Amino acid sequence: MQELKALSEERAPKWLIGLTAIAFMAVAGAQVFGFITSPAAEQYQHSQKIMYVHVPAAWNAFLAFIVVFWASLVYLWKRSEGADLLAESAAEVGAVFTGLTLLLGSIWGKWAWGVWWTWDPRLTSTAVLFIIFVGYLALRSFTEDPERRATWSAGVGIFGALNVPIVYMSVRWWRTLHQVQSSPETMSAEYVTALRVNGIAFLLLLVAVLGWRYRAARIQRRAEALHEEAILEGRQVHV
Amino acid sequence: MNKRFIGVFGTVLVLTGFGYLIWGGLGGSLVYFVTPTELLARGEAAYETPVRLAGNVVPGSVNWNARELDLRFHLSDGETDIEVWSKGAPPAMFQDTMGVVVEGRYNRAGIFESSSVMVRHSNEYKAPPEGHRPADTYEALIREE
Amino acid sequence: MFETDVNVWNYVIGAYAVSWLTVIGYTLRLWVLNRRASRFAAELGGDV
Repeated sequence: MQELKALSEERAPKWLIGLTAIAFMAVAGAQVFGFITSPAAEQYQHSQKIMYVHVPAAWNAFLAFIVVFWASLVYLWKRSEGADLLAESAAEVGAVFTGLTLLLGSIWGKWAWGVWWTWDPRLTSTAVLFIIFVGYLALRSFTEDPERRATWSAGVGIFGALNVPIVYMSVRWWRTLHQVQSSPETMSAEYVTALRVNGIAFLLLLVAVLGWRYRAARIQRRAEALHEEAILEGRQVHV
Repeated sequence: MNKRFIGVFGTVLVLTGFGYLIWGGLGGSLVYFVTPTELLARGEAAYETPVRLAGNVVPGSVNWNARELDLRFHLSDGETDIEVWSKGAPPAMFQDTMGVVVEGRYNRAGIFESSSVMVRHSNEYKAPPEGHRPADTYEALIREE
Repeated sequence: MFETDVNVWNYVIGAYAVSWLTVIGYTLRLWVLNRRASRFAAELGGDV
């Protein structure tokens, strides 16, 4: 099978390798930048630096779920395989960043609030978002028929992504322990700059991991399709 | 077939749990905390019921016995003032005027007996003014290690 | 106001360590997934 052989030998695109290297260096560099330029905050002391990983992780999670939302809609509309694989990739990446956000928030909470966890609406809705996408991934792994899997998970993906605005607005809509979003007016300039730098670095990381996850899914799916094609055409196949 | 069943079952479970949390838990029937004014407005029902109470630490009201780990302070929403008793050291940021959420119950003596004191800080992060800054943050790191 | 033994740096370092562990751990998973997909294609192609 020429095509399968070519597929198995396909090299990762250069831009993806380059972007990954840049993203790792950017994150490390942004963190060093944050540590050097941010003086200990009033009251918060150095714990303020946790913001540079917690907040970008949350932004990445939100962005990943927006990708899930969009890709799921495209799938339902056009039935394109690529959209389904992109939704799957973004869902996994989003779940990882949501998990990271929860862990980092917990560390922050223990220091600043005095508790690792509390069932306030922000924390609860974030946990719900996490559980929905873990469920999304479980649903995918349990459903074997590709079309049914894609349709069902598109539904769950859209539904799950609708929680992003709920999580985001939870601190304004309900009473929470979690503070409302900061803005450049509520933060000293050096913190705003460092947070932005770290946010951009994390964004590069998001694109990179999404790229790799999508690549793996595409090769896997393409191999399955080529194999099936070969069987249907009655060619000799080894397994 | 079995896998499919687990998949469907799992999905239904997740959706149900989610629906419960959003519409049942978060939608208003269950409020994360009440203010001192709201608590007292409950009259009889305010007493001896587990509740979260939020307000600001009344300046000058904090009484901390480090030896017995006994903490007493007043909590106010600007209108109503409730005295809180708690055991154990509060979080590092606990101080006058800071927002706090306490978990516990309001007793007949008019004291809120708290089992947990949580700091509810604002969204403001300010660097200390020039001249009050530690030399270099990373130096501080090395020094403290 | 309260002298606690808790060093704020423990939390900061803990948070950054958790971040890097997560990022590196997930990168390893992606590496495995990509290699597995290529091998899968090779196997189906009768190359193994």
